[in-house]
Amino acid sequence: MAYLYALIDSEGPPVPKLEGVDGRPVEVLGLGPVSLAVGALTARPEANLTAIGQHQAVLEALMQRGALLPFRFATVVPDPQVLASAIRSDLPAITANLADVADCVELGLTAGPMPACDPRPGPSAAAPTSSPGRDYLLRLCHEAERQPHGTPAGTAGMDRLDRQLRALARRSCRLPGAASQNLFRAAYLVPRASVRAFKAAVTAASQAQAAPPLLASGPWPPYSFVRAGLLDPATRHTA
Amino acid sequence: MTADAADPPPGPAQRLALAELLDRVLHKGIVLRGDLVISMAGIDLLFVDIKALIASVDTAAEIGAGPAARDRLGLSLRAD
Repeated sequence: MAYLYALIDSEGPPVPKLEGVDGRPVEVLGLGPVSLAVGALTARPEANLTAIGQHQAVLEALMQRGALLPFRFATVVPDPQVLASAIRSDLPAITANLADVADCVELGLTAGPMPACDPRPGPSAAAPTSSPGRDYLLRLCHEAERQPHGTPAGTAGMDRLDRQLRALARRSCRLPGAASQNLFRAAYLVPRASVRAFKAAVTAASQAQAAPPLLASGPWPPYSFVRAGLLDPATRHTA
Repeated sequence: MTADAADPPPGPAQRLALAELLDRVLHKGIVLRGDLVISMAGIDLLFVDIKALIASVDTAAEIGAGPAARDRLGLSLRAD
């Protein structure tokens, strides 16, 4: 089976030699103007931090090369050629999305009270049909469905900072998970040339009196700026 | 660095930085139809591992496994 890392632009420098999930080499399958970065696996990878780190390391290396659209962790197909027709039929959307994220990185901003919960499992976590991890991700999914555009921004200071950061970004979006934790969470697609200004703006805001705790994160591959329904036009919707 | 019971608990910023990574890796990106349920099935193991491993800043910084990981996780500007 093939483990899918990312769709990448076929033009540009060659992909360096990379080791990915399970220590397997990353291969590139050319499909015209776009290519698939894949790895051969004999079984679906286990979802653990080692595999996540290997997945992320491949994307970070590919991000240095040029524009990419990452697949979600642990996406596998029996044969990458089965994706070829889907990729070819969705080529305009894929190339437009690649152009959209070109020369940009994703930066995150979380603001608000930091969660103080103990990450260690409690007695209830032993229930066979439930777990903190599954509950957490399901809650994110449900919140994303209910509130696709996020929650109210909160303080005037946060609104101002958000406007400032959006002005530096090519695109931005609110992230789910904010309402239940009373957090402001957003992702910004920022041109590389503006990353320093982004960090400076967050630093300045964090030093303001009565500013909420702020956490900027990144640079990430553009996980949050993959168009909904890519490679699956039947489910596509506009953000 | 391997986490053990003697390691101090991760601070709020480290937990949030890890959550930022996991939210993206597990929740975002291109999703193929039919893949969601299968991927979600692995979350139990994932979170068991996380609870065992995020007990130190150094360990959290290694999660990204790339050269930018430490810088990324070090972007915490104010944690409390």
